[in-house]
Amino acid sequence: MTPDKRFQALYHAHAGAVLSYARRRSTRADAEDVLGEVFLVAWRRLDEVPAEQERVWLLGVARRALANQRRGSTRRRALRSRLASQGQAPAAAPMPFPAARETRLGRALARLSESDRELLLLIAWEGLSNEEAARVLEIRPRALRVRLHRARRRLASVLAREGSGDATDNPTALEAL
Amino acid sequence: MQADLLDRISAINPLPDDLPAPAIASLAALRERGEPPARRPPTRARSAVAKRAALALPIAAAILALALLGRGGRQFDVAAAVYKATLAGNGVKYMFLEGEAGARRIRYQRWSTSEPLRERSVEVGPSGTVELVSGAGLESAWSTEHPGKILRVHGSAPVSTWDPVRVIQQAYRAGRLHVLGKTTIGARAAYRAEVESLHGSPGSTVIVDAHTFMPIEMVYHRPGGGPPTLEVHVRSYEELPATKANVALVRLAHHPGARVVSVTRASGH
Repeated sequence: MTPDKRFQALYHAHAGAVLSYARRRSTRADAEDVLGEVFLVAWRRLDEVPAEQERVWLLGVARRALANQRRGSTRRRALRSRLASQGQAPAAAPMPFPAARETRLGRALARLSESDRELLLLIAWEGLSNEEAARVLEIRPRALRVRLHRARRRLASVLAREGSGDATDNPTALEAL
Repeated sequence: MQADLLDRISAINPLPDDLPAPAIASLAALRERGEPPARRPPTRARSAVAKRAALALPIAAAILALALLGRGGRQFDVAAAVYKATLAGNGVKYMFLEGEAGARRIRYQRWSTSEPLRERSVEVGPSGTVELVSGAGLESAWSTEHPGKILRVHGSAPVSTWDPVRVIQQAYRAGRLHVLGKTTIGARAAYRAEVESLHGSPGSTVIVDAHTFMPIEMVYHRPGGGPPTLEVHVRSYEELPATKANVALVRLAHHPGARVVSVTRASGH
């Protein structure tokens, strides 16, 4: 198969999944950007894309592309603070995933560390097996099982705290304005 | 219980079904480079070409397909009409919102374009006015608290923030937009709809214009009742034609006497 044909097949098979992965975690404009970045990398490194793990490989690239974007987003949020003082930017806020954070569970997820959250979402939203999620995160399957257990426990703990009447259960859209 | 937790996370998936793959417009640009991809070292020039091409992907078509193929079958027709009416176009998107959260009030305006990606917002709140512009790898900020300074940060991408239309689109896609019936806002005919939250309590009430189906008002409720936590009045949400004058609205306003303070990516982060 020629590189062109392989690339086309790759794109048609997985572009929707890559776009959706990015869209679940970022704005529409950012997701489009990630889609372009991922397939640019795929084009450059076409012979490194494993035939049996194409989607997993592409999602791994998408994850890194999103992480790069996230660094840009953090700068944006810090802009107002920098206006007041040109010193250090404030600590990074968790990356929003706009639809899900309207819910109590979504807000609880947003309070997890990025690595805990991403692990849970790869399995629950992208439908990956533990082994596939481990490949995307570039960790061993055994390490993933341990991390998954801890991530679930931490999420349950955050939910339990929220369930006790924490004021942060209310929508915070005004803050997002 | 742990499996149930993953099921619950799965249930709030904002896109339960994958988006359709957009047309492969970028491939032509990549193919025109000629050489086999694996043998070519990455270059800045090629990256720029491919990025531009990728940004031109007709995502709008994919979103439209979603609107037509989505979960409208289980919804009252008005919900589908609201969803379709709120699809973004290619001009200058303008929104003017007024938000109230208790005694706190904010007036917020935003202008944005998708080609090129650029946006400007002006927020008037208790601490004064803040103007932010982002796009073309540059972010600029000015505020009435520090009127003598325009801060510029190089090397950043634009980031969209909260959008009432997006809230409605997402609720519709997730099957959580329920039209309750007709109402009036002043003399204006409207529909009242509820964006259901996933844990059963009412999430927010949305009022949309009965003719344009665009949002007029959104009220967020407390899970246990009581006064709303937030009211957002959508004074304007429209697509302005991409004229020279309108496109200029996404640029930072002129602030006489303000000095520009540039921050590079390295020192600004």
